[in-house]
Amino acid sequence: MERRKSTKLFAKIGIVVLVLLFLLLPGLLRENNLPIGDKSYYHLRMAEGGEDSLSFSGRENVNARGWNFLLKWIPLNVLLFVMGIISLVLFFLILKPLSLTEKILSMGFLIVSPAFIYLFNVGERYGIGILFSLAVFYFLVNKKNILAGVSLVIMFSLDYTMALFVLFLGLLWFFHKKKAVFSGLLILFLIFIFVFGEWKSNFISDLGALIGISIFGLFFIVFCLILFWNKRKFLPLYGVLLGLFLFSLRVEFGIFYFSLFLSVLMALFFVELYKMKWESKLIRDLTFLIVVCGLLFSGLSYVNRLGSGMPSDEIFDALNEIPEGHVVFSDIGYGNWISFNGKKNVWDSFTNVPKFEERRKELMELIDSRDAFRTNEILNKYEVDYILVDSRIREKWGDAGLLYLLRYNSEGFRKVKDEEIEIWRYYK
Amino acid sequence: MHLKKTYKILILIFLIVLATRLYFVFQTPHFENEGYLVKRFVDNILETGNPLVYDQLSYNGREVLYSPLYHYILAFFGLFLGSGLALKLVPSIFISILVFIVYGLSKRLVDNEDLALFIALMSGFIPIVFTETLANASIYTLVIPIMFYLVYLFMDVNNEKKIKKFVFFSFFLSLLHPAALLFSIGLIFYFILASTEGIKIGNLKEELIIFNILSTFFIQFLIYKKAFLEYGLNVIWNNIPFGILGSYFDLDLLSLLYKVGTLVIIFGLVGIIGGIIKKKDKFFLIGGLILSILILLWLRLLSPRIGLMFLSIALVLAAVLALNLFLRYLEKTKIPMYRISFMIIVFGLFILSLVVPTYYYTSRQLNEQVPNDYEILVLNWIKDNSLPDVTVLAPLEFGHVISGVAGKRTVLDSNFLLAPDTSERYEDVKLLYSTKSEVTALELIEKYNIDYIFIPIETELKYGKVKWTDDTNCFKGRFFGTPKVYQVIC
Repeated sequence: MERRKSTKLFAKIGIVVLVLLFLLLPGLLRENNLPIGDKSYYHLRMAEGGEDSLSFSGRENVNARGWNFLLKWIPLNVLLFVMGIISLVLFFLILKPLSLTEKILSMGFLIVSPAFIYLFNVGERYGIGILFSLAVFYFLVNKKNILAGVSLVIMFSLDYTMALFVLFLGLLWFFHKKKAVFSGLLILFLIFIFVFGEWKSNFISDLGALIGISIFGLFFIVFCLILFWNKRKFLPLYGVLLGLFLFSLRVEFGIFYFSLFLSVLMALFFVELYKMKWESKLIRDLTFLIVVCGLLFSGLSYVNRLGSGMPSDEIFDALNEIPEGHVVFSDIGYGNWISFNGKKNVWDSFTNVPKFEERRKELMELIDSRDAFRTNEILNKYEVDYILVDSRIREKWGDAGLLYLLRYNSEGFRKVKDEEIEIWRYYK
Repeated sequence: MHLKKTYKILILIFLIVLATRLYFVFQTPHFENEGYLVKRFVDNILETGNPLVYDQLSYNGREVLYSPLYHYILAFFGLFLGSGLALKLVPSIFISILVFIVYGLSKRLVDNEDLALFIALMSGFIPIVFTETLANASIYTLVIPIMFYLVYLFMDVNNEKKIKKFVFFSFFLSLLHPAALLFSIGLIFYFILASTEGIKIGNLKEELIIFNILSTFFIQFLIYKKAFLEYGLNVIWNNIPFGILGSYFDLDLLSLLYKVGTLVIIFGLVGIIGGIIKKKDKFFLIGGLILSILILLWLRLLSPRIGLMFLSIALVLAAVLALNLFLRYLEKTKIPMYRISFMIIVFGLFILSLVVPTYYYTSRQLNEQVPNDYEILVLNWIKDNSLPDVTVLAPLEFGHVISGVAGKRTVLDSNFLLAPDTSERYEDVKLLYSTKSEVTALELIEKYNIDYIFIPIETELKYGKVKWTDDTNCFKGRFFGTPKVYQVIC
């Protein structure tokens, strides 16, 4: 009895250590104090309020403003950390019907998942979206429907699409006993999956996906599905797994919900597998050790990747040399950093602007074309004043198109900064 | 007493195989192209105690990603023998040990000691294994015996001691080389084959399969994490330049017959079919391995050069059943007195179908793939008479020879994983040797900071004379035989 108690205590302490590690480590590993990724810069800039005159050289602010509002009052790092903790607590509370071992394992698997690490280390609005999703689920499970409704309304101010998805899940929850409505909703969901969006080809973080699941998590789940395919108690869960998997292949934030569910399913499989009769205890222990080490390794590798990710101080130092208000052309992933620095960008990763596809095609043509006339035409159309290029961009764009022209066609271009990060002035 | 005699014969077979290998390997003091890469890795360990992680010479300087376990083992022997001798002797011993493993496996498969000894002898002279692991200190000299030792252990795993051995060698193989995945995939196919035939393989074997698959994949991800992140699933193409990717996985059926042995293929396939018909669990294991290799070859996910090495040994093992059936059949016929004559003819044919191609291909390989004394002399001249950081242009097949012998930087070599712009460099090097335009050549020479142009005879035969080197204002001829060497002076 005493031993059991101490094991539980160790497990709880382990979870606390794990959560602290995975919430703080990416920040500690960074060489600078800059937020990770590019989208958080958009929210940080919009937190100041006012119209967006820099993104796409000026556009309407169409994104939900709730996250920007929070960033105005609370520092990003603090907010992310607190959100991560609250989300985990809510996740734990939602898993009430499970045993303590299953709950602790679910939490452990969630903490080391790349999705969780991304959510609460990168300042995107998805983190707060997931927090409120969990709040809605928690209130629904505890039959506090009004509070669930309030949470859902708040979600609409954070991200419309996530809120709609949670509303759909809520409807499924309410109508799960009315077969006709439930089936209708599921059919609608499947139609949505197959009609809207584009299939994502890479959803595994270890194979290069920015937001994805761990290869070991996937491996473990596939293996357990083969092993327990005929276990009746798991059958409904397989349906949910498939639905969420398809959804995550179509919708960017789907992977977060998929990861939440995956963590629970992995914990259930883990316990089931452990309870199985094993011929060799050595093999059993080694197998579980490898699974745990694999998941940890995957998570740590992702932490390292996020920690060493862009942007760097040098980008902003280079941008500081460009006068405010000018239009800077660079890679799409650099757009939010350009506008954060007070310059206008030509494009950025918030692509919900009118005629984006036309713009994308033209800018891709600009990057790939050696035709000086056409290049000037496109640069003039988007009123570009400066072009920013660094080693990553050089590698991505190749030196066949615009970079070739910058190198060999001195007419119209002048290099104003000749270091690791190059800045070229374009004369119209 | 009888056992002792068998072991004596087995040791004699081992010594015959080893002596034959050493006879060929010491015919030249040099290595094949790949052998020089191994030598540089081993020398680096001997000098610094650490594996080479950043190669200053390859691709004008690049990160290298590999498991250094094999190189540490060779470096250990290099401490006593010197790296040159260790790289020739130790791999030969490793691969010759295969005869013991094949003997053990064959005995388990048919319980016929004489036949097992004969199969062990055959395994020592499979042409493709013999030639591909001869003068290049190939890592497969260790990978192949360990993989088949794992098959041996797995076949009759029934106690804790064998489980521990299996666990140890599973880890060892995974740490050694990604070819460990081949064994894991083979186990998966074994499981599928056995399940479809309704054969119960037992819980312990199922557990071992699970463990092996998980541990192998985990270790590969641990070692090659960076490559997986960089290339995603395309890592299976190993960053091979597009220019050679098309032909890299081509399987030539005629050379398959020669290099594996016609009779080995025939008897091997008969053995597998016989094993499956008779529902022999142990043959399902060999069958799973063969099936996995064939499917990977068919899907062009495995280089034929490597796949055929494993396939040939698996087929030799499978052939044991066919030969055993053949012998039993002879016993049942009305002509048992001719049994010995039949056996001598069949075994003689086997030896002929293996030993003759082995001798032919080995001699050819040593002549064509190992640089000759003059080429080494030229490279030693470059080593002694040029600045330390010069770059030498050489075709892909000479990349490691240049960096290994001359100790100079190269534009490209065959270690593609994580190498920069392999496709572009491959095309540029091809263009440099084939272009008639000096302007194009100079542009590329500037792009890669090339100081010396190395033109082996094979390249001249392939692309014709390299015309732009005629400009004496820009290129100073240093050697005019085979190979030619020019120094860039403009």
